[in-house]
Amino acid sequence: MNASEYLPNDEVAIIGGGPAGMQTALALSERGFSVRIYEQKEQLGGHLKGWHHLFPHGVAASDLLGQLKEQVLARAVPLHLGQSVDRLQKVGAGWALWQGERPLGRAGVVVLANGFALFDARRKEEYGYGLYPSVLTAADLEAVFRKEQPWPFGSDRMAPQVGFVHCVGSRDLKCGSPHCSKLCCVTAVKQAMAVKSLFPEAQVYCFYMDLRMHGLEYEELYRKAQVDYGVRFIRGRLSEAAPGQGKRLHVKAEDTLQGRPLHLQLDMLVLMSGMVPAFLLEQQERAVFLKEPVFGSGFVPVQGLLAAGSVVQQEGLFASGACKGPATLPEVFADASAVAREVEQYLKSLKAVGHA
Amino acid sequence: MPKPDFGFAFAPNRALDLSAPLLPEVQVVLEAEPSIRACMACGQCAAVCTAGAFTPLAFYRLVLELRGGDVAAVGERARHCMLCGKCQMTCPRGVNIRNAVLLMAALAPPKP
Amino acid sequence: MLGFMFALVVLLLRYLWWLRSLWRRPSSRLLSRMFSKHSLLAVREIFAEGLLHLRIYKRNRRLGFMHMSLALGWFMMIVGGKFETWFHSGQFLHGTWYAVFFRYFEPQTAGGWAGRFWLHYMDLGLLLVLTGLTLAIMKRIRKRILGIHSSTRHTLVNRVALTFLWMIFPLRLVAEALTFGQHGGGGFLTGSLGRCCFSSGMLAGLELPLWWAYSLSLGAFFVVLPFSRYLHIPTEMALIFLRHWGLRAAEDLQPEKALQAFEIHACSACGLCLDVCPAIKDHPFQSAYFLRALRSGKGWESLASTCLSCGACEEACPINLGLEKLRTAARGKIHEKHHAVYSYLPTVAPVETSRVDVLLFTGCMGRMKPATTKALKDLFEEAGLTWVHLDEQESICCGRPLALAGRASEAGALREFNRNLIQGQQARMLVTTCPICLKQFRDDYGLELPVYHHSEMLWYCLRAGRLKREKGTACFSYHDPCELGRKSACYQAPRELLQSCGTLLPLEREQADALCCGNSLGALSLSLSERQALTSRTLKVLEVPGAACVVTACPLCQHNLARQSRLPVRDLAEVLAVTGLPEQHGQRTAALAAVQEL
Repeated sequence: MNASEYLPNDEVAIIGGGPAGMQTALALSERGFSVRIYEQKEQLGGHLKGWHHLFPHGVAASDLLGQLKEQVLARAVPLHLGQSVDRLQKVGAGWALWQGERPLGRAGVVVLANGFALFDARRKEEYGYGLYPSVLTAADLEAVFRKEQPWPFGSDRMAPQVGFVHCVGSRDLKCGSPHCSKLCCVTAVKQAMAVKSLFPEAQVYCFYMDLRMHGLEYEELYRKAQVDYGVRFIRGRLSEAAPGQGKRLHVKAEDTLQGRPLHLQLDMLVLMSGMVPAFLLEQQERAVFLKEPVFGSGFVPVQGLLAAGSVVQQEGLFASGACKGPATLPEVFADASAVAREVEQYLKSLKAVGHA
Repeated sequence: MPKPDFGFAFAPNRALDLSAPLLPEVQVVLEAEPSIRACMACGQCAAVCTAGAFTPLAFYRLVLELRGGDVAAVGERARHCMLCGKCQMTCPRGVNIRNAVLLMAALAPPKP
Repeated sequence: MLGFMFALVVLLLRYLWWLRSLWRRPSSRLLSRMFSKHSLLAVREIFAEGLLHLRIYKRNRRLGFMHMSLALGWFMMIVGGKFETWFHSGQFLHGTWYAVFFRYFEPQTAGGWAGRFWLHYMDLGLLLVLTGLTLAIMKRIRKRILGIHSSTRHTLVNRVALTFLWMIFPLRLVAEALTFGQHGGGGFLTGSLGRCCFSSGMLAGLELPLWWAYSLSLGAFFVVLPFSRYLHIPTEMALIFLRHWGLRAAEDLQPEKALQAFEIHACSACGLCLDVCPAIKDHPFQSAYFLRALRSGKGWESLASTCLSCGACEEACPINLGLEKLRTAARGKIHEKHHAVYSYLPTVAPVETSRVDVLLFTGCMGRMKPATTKALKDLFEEAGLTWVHLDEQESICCGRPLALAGRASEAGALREFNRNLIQGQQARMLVTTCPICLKQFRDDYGLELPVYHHSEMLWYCLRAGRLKREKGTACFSYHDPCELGRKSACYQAPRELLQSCGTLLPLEREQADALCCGNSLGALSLSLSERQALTSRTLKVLEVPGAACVVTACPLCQHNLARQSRLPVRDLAEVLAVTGLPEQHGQRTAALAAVQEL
């Protein structure tokens, strides 16, 4: 094998320094592999940096993030921050990583862990996101909880009227996102309860299509929200948001269970923006490109149930976490271990064939 | 076990008989516009309905009533639609609502 | 000759059947026009379009030349042949067959320079036709040579007719050449060919058979003509006359009656409507196929129901057929059992308002596009105009969606309501943000008030100095909405507005050629995935390198494009409200905004 073919086969490059990337790095490192993390931002954490408290138990996101970072640093995982990989070139049985024309390194295996993006709520102009200051997304509301942004209604308002709209940019063929984003329902319930605890006199409404409380203790959260916090759940959709009385929003909706239209004045409207692909994986003969997503492009495609971390059509390319589709944090952590196991199997099989 | 027959009934049974087959005119509509089957009654159509501000028109309810066999009522109500298309534009399941409404309106008993 | 007589009889019978509705109550206007300049205008159009095919030529020179050479060449030969026989025999009237087979009967004609003139003239005509024929054959083999991408797939009958037509002129060439070869003489084409190839005595026996072949080919063509696309030859002429005489197409579908019958049969399947259709790659609902389905009476329902009604085919049709009207009539027929009931509409109470400059009607889509409405109101403020937003809370549809679905007759109550609403106000003009409403208000409402699209009004403000803009560095690509562009001929206003504040990038397909956004109110049974494919194709054209933003002037276009587009999609008003603001004005607006935040 000549120098240009030299490949650090036991090295695994992980693209993405969020929960998926970090946990996968830890899982692989514990198995004795040498891992590196490439993160496009200047800090680790991904979307987790922006959350306040996590469902279902209210664990502080910053605590969880702190723990993960500590472990990563303790295992001295090399971190390449501010580096955004956009091309993977197949070299022998492994990969060369590139950012534009700049080579970033080589590895025997690459694990994509670069997560998801949030649906751009401005595409639903009728809800007025970006037009009316009282319309926020769920991510914006987390920033408000973290005191990084002010409440959109005046601080004097003791009993704000708040509405949550589920399924914004999810389960919507028109927006190119036919999938369910899985966590918006439980997030909305969690956020609704948080608003109520901060403003006990507030009226909080959740406008849902179906309440998908699938995880452990999620359903109990729903019941608690109704009984203990007085959150009202309305099955139906919003039509448009328009300027209402004063700085309020006038909102119309259909209540499908009652079979009649409603209208109300809101101080704040929260849009549960869905999880959408952050990039488009374009696969060619000996190269893989990470490009801007286009309409209808899906998440990273994987082999199937028994090899759920292995990217289709590629040897030595794996995907971990929410880049494959909407996933909760517990699922992401479990996935990281599963993917680590698959990577281990793969590298063992390579050795057996004599590539190493 | 067969239903006990007391020989009288207090009041007509409100329950829809789901075991009964769909009416042929309903089948015709569903086959002429198969996207109707994708409706999940989310209510987006009714929320944006132009006519809905003045009259109880809600497409998702027309779909439910169509399957329930209340063909004449569906036909009468479908006539209120202005065909503006806001519902079809916002429907997350891509139902061809305008075509469906035109087909449903044809179910109404003919005007004298 | 028998063929020709047969064709003539069939044609006359069909035409009379189609026109039967007119005999019962002859329109006085029709009669008066028949004997006026309109007939002369009709003759002129027949020459310009029927022979010279000028409209096709303007669209596509090679294709235009091909059609022209066939038509004009043959016409030259028919007329020339008549004159020639008259010249040589001194008699004007002969049996129809005499001029056609003149060469056979009188191969050696002298007559000095005039005789030679006719010989060469006839050869010129023949050459013209043969050039056209070659082009037509090339078109069948490689369409790109003639600059088109799609050509009509023909039925069996049409293929048979085509074969006979294509055989006629080569056979004539060979027959004439052989005759001249045997007997001497002939024009520059036939004579030379005859001398070099056909002078051998052995070929003498072929002379009569060749002329018979020519005759049979001609006869067969005429027999098949009334049942093939070549029916368009006489029908088109009749159509042009009828149109100039003021006959208009009916509103409901009657394919065997009056003008509609002539229109449906005047289509020559030339194929110009194919290339311009946005759905050519996916769906066969183009006008040529739709009209064919109407003629056969089968399969037109789904073709009418899936068509976008974007108007591109009507724009391209060289004989100006009323294709949109036919399609809406077809849709109306499919759903003829649909009736609408609008008795639930409230009566409009007359509202006392002071006189304003602008009545704003944002239509059904208004509240789905709050950014557009807000931007437009900001622009009104800037221009110093007073306005009333008629349908801020609720709106009643203008009625055009019903019309596009073929149910225009049901929209009466909607029209009444809106007309009362509008006429109850005092204003200088009605402005709408939706091109669909625009067309309805202008064409069907009969309002006393002038109606403008917001782009037209804003352009007026710009020209009048009420709005001032400076050209900045922003680059836009503009999507021409079907209803504003092709249907209302408004291309310039939006462009001028965008050029005033930034750079408008040129597109591969724009203005009258623009592709539909896919959100059509005409297509009834087109599925979502099919529409999304059309939208993708349109976006490919719009997302030119360098464009920062796609701009459009229709709320339905904007809504549809914004969902799939990579680039932001904004309405014209939104863009104009924030771009190119002159220095001090920009600061003032920013200051105002800052004050409002407090």
